[in-house]
Amino acid sequence: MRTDNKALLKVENLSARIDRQVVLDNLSFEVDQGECVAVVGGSGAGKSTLLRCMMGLTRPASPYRGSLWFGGTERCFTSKKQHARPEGIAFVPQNPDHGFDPLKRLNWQWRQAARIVTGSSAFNASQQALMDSLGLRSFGSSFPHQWSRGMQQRLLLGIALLGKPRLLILDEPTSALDSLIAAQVLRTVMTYAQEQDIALLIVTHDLALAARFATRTAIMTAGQIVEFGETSKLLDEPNTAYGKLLVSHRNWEVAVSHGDTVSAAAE
Amino acid sequence: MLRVENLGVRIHGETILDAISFCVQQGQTLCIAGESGSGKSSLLRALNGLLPAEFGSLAFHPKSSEPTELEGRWRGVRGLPGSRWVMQDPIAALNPKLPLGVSIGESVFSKNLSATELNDAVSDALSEVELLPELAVRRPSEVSMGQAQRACLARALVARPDLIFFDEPLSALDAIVQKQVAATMRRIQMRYGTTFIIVTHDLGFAATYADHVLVLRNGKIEANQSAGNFFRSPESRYCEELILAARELGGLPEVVPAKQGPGEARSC
Repeated sequence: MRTDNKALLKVENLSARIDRQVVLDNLSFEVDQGECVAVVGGSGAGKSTLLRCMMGLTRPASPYRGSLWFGGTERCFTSKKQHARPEGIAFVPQNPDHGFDPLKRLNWQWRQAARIVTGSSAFNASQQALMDSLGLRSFGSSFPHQWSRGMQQRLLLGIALLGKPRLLILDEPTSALDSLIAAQVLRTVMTYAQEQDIALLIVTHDLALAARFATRTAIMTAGQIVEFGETSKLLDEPNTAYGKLLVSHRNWEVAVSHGDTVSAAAE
Repeated sequence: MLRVENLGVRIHGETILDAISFCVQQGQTLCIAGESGSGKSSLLRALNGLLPAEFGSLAFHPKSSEPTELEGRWRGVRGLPGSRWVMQDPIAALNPKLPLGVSIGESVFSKNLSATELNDAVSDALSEVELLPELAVRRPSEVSMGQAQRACLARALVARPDLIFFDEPLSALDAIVQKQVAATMRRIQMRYGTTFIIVTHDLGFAATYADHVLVLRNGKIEANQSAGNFFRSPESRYCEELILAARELGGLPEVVPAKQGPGEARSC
């Protein structure tokens, strides 16, 4: 087991509901400093709800139990006062369409983001350095749609990294992008995260992706984390039925032989 | 069975697709891959007459319906006779007001079946895609994405087409359901010898299911190879990058499995 003093983020006993329906049930997991953790689950498992709770958003699902411990401060999910997300957590949405205002120029959006996290909208040298390290050119007067999606996604990443976060959350980093761009974006993130010692939380439905990048993986289904542990160990011997299903469907060629027998069970 | 030569699409003077030629054999799977914006979906739309396309020539010889031979401009025809189309987003593709059974039945409207025949055809198609016949009375909002996509597949299948076009059929589904639906597609193909033309950006899927791979980039063909050759020795530098990227994301098996299918890989 890992020692607790390395932990950067701990979510304990998080439960949330929409009206009376419980959508998250007693979730606990942790992320160490500089570590990459993946949360894997099918659609409807509650992955996005978990993220929304962590970011302090209480609608549509409102948390009713649990606490979030991040970098030395503890926050109760139920407390009404501290809805704002903890400082030091940054979030990159799944799709550039969800991250940008399509009608505002990129330059303006960048300055707004900078103003919120640093208090000043002036473009300074460290921001230029960040742009350079992500391989982005200057904005000019362009709108989001004038950039390619890969560039947009990298710019979103840049905006997320503006505030020098200690934890970066990526929501389905590959699903909206084609493989070339996705690989490029992920490569950038990984390099940057290693340089700056940023922890990563990748939320995805693709176990192959998690297996490739994450040191630890949490498997979610129906609002619960059913397994959490070292990725390699989990891939070798999953303990739960859902974990086994996910592992056996990780790669394409396995599905050909097993697809027929299990398909009725899973839907 | 389908041979396309020199297809070009120009919209407002801008060339979307240029000099596309390929052919597909009966019972084979052609995967069309490429980055977003490369013209994959446009190619599908052009083949179905939804975009003003300029054909050098198009010859489609299905087993069970009239052959189609075209030259020059073609637009506004209701697809190639004997073919069906499965869309990317199953919820958007199905009429939200209609029960699934009615949506599926509409696909064979032109055959003037009696009510019992129609019912039988619909429940046959549903069981073919591993759905319970009871689902026929549900509306799209009352089923899961995977079930809705299976219903779309049933809708295509009920007309017993010789060719089914798929536009990113799996990208709206999660990893497990993707593989199950893919297995169902495979079984149907083995059983009926249907030809599949599948647009995808998932090379892992292409590696497993394709007989032939067509890679597009900026509206031009970058590679037109049998799947085995493509993954072993891609035609161009760009395809190598594409394969490397897929490998980097962990989506591509290290060793590309040899696929056994109804039609063995023939070059054309």
